[in-house]
Amino acid sequence: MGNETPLVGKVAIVSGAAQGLGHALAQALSAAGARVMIFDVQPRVEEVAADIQTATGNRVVGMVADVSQRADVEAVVASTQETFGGLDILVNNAGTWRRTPVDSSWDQALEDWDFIMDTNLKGVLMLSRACIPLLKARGAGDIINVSTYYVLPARSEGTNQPDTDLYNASKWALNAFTDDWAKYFLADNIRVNALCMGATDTPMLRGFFPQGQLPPELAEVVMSSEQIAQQMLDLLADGRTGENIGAWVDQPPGLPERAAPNRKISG
Amino acid sequence: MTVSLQGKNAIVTGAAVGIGTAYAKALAAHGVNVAVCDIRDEILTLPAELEAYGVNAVAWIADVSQPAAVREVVDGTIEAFGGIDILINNAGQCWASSPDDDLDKTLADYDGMVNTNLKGEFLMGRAVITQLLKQQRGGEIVNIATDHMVTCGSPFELCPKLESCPWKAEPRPTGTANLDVYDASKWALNGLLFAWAKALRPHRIRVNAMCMGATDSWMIRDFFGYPQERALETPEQAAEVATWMSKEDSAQVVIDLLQEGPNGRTAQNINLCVGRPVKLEDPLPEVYITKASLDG
Repeated sequence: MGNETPLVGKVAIVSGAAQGLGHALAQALSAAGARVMIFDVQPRVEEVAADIQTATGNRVVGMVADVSQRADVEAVVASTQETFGGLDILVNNAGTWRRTPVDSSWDQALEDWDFIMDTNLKGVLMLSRACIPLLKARGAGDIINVSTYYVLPARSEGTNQPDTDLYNASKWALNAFTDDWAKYFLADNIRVNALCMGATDTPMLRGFFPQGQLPPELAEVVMSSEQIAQQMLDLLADGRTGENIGAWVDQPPGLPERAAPNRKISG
Repeated sequence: MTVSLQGKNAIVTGAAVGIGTAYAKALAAHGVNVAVCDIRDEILTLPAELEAYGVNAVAWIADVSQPAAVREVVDGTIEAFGGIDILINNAGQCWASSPDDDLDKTLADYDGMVNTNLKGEFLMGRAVITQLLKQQRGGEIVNIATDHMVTCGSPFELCPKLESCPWKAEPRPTGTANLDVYDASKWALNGLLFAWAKALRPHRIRVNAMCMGATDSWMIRDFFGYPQERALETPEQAAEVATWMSKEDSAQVVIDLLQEGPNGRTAQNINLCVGRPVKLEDPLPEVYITKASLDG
C-alpha cells in the first residue's frame, strides 16, 4: 500500500462544497491528511465541515460565502491564511447550471448571464487570483478547475447541448485559465489542471431530470463523486500541469497518459 | 455553388477601425446593406463610405457590453432595413492581464474584455437570433475569436501540415500567459458556437467563428504599441507587421463563408494561422459535436 495520507501538512480550499462533487472532493482531501477550508452559499456547509472533520480527524472549516462576491472571496482567503497559515491546493469546484434556450426572452437572457457567469467564470477568476499569493508563498501548489467533458474532442453526441449556451461557454472559458496559468506558473511550481467530467451522480446532474430521478440507462453508467475524487488525488500525486483530465462513463478509471507539449489543451 | 449576398442585411459590430471596417466594406461591396456600431465616434462617418457601394448603411455609437445599446442597434437595424440576415460579432478588446494581478486590475479586465468580447457577442447574438427565428428565412452568425484557442488542425491530427507552416513539426502552443482574461473570453465563444449551431440548424441558420492569428489591425497594433499608420513604423516593426495577415484577406474569407449559404458548414472554428494561406479551406471533421448531433 502507498501512503494513505499524502496530504498531511497541506491546506486546501474547495469552493461549493456543501453537497455533491465539492463535498466528495473536500472529504477526499481531508481523508488524505489535508486541512481544508470549504465554502458554499448554502448554510449547511458548516455542518458538512463538522461532519468531515469528525470522520477524518483533520481540521475542516466551513464558511458561508458566495464565490461570485468579491468581499466573500477575500474573506475566505483571509480566513484560510489566518486559520491554517497558508494554502497549497485550490479546487475551483463551485459552479451553477441552468437551461438557457436561445429563444428565451431578452430579460431572461440578461438574468441568465449573471446567474451562470458570475459564479462559473468570474468566481473562478476572482478566487484564483486571490489565492495565488498564498500558493506562491509556499513555493509550490495546485489549482484544480472543475470543468466538463464538453471541452474535450467529441466523446459523445450529448455534449455542448443547444439549450445550455452560457453553461457551455463558462466551462470552455476555463481552458484559458488551465492552459495559460500552467505555463505562467511553471517556474513557481504551481500546477494547474482541470477535471473534465462526463455524467457524475451529483445534485447538479439530477437537476436535469424530473424529481431528480436519473433515467435507468444513465443511472447504470453514471460515475460517482468518489471516483472523481480519487482521480483528483491521483492527479495531485502525479505532478503534471496544464492538462484537461477527462473522465467519462466508458473510460477506464485512473489518469490518462500525459499529453505531449502543445497538445495538452486540444483546441 | 455560391449564393449571392445581394440585398441582404448585416450588422457588423466594432466597425470603426481595423478588421470591422474591412468586413463592413467587403459586405457592402457584395451588395449587402450594413448596420455598424462602435464605441468610437468615428463610426458615424462609415455609412457614407459604405453607401458609395450602392447599399444602405446606418451607424450607432454603441457599447455591445451594454444591453440597452445592443437593443438600440438591433431594433434600429430592423427598423432601417426591415430585417437582419447576417451578424458579424466583431467588437472586441484586448490588453494584457497577468495571473499575478490583484483583484482591482482583474475586475477591470473582466469588465473590459469578458463583457465586450463574450457578453457583447452573447447579447448581440441572442437579440439577432430572436429576429432570425421570427423571419424564418435562415441567417448567418459569424463570431470573431482567436487562434489562441485552436492549435494546428484542432486537434493536431487534422492539420494539413503545409510546407509553409512554421509549426509543422510541433503544434503551435495555444494561449498566451499574459492574456488569460482575453483568452477566457474567446475560448468561451466555443460554448455559444456549438450550442447556437445545434439549436439553429433546423432553422437554416449557420453559426461559425473566425479564429485568427495576428492580423494587421487596429487592435493588434494597439496591443504591441505600434503606430496605426504604416509610414510611422520602425524597420523592426515593419518586418514584424509583414508577417501578419491582412484584414482584407480575412474579410474575403468571411465573404466566401457567407456565400456557402444555408447548406454550408456550421459549428466550425475557421482557423487562420500565420503560415497558412488566408483562405477558406474545406471544413474540418467535427470534433466537439458530431454531424449526427447537429442534425438532431
